[in-house]
Amino acid sequence: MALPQGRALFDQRMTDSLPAALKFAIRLTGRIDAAEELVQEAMLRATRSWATYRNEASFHTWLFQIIINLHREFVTRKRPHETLEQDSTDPNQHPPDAIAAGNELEFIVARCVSELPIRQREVLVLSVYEGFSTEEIAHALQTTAANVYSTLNVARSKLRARLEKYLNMASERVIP
Amino acid sequence: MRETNSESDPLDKLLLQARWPEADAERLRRLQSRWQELSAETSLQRTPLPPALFAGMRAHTVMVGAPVAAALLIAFAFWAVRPSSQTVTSDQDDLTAELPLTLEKFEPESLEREESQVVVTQETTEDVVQAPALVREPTMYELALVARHRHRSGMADSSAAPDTTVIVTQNQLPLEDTAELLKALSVPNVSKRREAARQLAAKQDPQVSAYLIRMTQNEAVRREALIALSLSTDQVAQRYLQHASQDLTIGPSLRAIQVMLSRR
Repeated sequence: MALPQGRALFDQRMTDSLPAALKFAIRLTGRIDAAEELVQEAMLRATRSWATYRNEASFHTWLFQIIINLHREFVTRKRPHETLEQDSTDPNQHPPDAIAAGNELEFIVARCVSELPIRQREVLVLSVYEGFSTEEIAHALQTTAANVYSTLNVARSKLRARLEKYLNMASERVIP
Repeated sequence: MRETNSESDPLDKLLLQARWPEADAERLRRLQSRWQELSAETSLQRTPLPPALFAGMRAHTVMVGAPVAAALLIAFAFWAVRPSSQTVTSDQDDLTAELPLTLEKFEPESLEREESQVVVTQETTEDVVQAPALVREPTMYELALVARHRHRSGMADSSAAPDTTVIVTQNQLPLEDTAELLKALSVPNVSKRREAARQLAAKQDPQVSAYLIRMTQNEAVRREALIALSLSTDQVAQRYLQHASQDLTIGPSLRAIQVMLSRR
């Protein structure tokens, strides 16, 4: 029977996708607790609308779409803009040498990403950290590839301006 | 399709260094167990069809089912109170629509039932007309009503009307061509109606005459039926015409038809 097989396959795909979904939610929200709550809501919504899932798009894209929509609802309706669990200090207050000595730069970059406006954050995270192509991002965000491209450029410009002091260090540093 | 080159742009290198707080294994296990719970809870609710479609089906069932149920209830109530025998039909009824092709459907028994019921109706009507409370002269409409009942009672009176019940029980009813001609008596084209009446009269068939006599009760085809009967030399038709010429309802129409036919 097709239905139980489809159900079992859906369960399996969801179980396999949970780590990636949680990581994606953390990158979007910048907080672990919020990300866990987001993924739980996404699971609930997925159980309600799993019949609408078709194999046309990848399961990842479909699940990420749910997470993105829920995140927008969280930010615009329920919760104010929230940042990382780390103390929200201005990255420019720390001397670059001191930052480069430890892991703090990595958290500062992450916080700068998580402080971008929602649409720019979504595009940047999907592009840089999830490896989505422009077309896949456009499909996930229900927009055009040109819009994705321009949004990505705006986000990169903002980050470049904000992280200008660390750019030279990053080029010298070896990524473990 | 990545638009940037991470090897040439230091921003990309910096972005790849970003590090978010990592979820521990306990959180992930919690999410997985939560998913298993959700999956088990919603397994029975899952369906390949969208819920909106089910809502539409439910609405459709109510919208269609309720009128159908009401119609069935009304039909049942109608047939429950309807008398078992078929009474005298309305003048607007189209007798040609139910032309009998076999003898059983011509049902002489129903004629007998009509007879008894019409007699009762006539007595009632006469009682009303002759009631002491009536202090005015009857109107033309009332007179016409009485005349109609008398005509029908006369039709049902075995001593006055032709013995159609005996005639129709003798053989099978006319064939399909006769049925077609009987139906043609009510077509819109006048010349076709007249032609059908002539052809029916030419058959000189007592069974056809008996059916034409029944058709005279229907105002829509009465004139054509009377024409056919007037043109026929069949004995049943002749006996009926003698009886009908004295009838208040049919008499004037019959005389006009006879005048029209005599001029041709």
